[in-house]
Amino acid sequence: MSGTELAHGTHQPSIAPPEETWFHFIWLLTQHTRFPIPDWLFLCWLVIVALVTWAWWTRRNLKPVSTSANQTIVEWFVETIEGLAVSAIGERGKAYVPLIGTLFIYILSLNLIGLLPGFMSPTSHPYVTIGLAIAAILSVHFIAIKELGIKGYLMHYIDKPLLGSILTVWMVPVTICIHIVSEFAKVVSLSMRLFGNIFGEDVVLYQFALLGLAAYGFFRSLVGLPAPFQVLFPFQLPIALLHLLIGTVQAFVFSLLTATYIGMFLQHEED
Amino acid sequence: MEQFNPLNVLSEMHLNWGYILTQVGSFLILLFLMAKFLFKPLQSLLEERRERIRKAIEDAERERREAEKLRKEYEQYLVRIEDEARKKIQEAMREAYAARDELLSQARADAQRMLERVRRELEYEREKMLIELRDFITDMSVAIAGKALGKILDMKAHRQLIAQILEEELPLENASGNGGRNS
Repeated sequence: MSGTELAHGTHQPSIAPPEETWFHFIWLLTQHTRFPIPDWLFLCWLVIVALVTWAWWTRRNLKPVSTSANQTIVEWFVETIEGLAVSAIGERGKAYVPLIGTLFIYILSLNLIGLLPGFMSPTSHPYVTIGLAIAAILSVHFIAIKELGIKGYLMHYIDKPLLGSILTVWMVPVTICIHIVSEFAKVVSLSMRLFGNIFGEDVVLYQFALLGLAAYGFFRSLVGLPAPFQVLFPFQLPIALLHLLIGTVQAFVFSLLTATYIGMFLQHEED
Repeated sequence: MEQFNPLNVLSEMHLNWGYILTQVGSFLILLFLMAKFLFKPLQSLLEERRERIRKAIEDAERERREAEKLRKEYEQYLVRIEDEARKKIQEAMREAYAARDELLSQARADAQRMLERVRRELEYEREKMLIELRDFITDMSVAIAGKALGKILDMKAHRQLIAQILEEELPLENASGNGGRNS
């Protein structure tokens, strides 16, 4: 399996849903250019444009006291994210509400857009989740450098408390290695957790829908079956509801873990 | 089969880094725009509102405390005023009673004095009447005796005689010093 196959969805085993959406024509148009645009990438951009339009519209209609359902929901959302950031990072977490909130709302949109017929969840594609995880961890490190300074940031890799004793100085290279590995592990765990959940969900959804189709074909083939049995079997419906839940939970976990990583960096300053 | 080197794990995966970097860039652009359009304005709005509510609560609390203080002050003031009013009323009543007593005693004294005066006048009138009566009796006696005897011996001597008799028979109370009958 090569990266190109992965990107273009040609690698898939037969159990996975096809990565073809309403926007597959863009792929067909661009596949021979230098930068072919797969469906999932275009969906990401679509979601970004929709979110930015919504945000811009919300800001334009912002009132000192909420009068619209939209503003009430957004206020509730921002306050919830603020509470989350403060609980994970501390009072300074309020400055990182945009990062955590954007991660949540973006991943949530990417997860749930797959429920629309003719769409797919871009997060069921590893490139999307790897990109998101890299962006999140880069933001974490950027914030750490900004908050702690270069020296404080580098001290994080040495683990300041260990320097207290001469006996433990030899541990410094070990902790540096552990920290570097753990930073990569964070990227991998963030991206693979999201990808695995949403991809697995999509596969199950697809398979149950296929099962419904198969059942429909089977019952149709029976001679003399009464009309009420000649219906489609939406076996994927409970899985779609589960997808709602898992999509929300995974978006929440991703943003919460990012907040926690920021908190882990910043707590050194309080030591 | 070629030797797998763990250090080459990233290149072995043949990831298309262009797509990943596109994703990172897209997200960072989204982050910037969302922060600019949604989160920063919302956060400042919420912060302002929180501040306003906090201030309103503090103001209300302060005003309540001030009102409470004023209420206590007024209550004390009222109690003081009531005390003063009660004292004044008592004072006035005491004065009124005193005035009444004084007036009563004065009136009693006046009445006593008037009674005394009336009594004295009565006494005086009585004595005057007695004197006049005696004079009258004397004159009448002289006249009767004169008529009886036919002539008046000596008017002056006669009168003296009668007065002497009267003095013995009908003495003047004051002259006799017998005041016990007056009281």
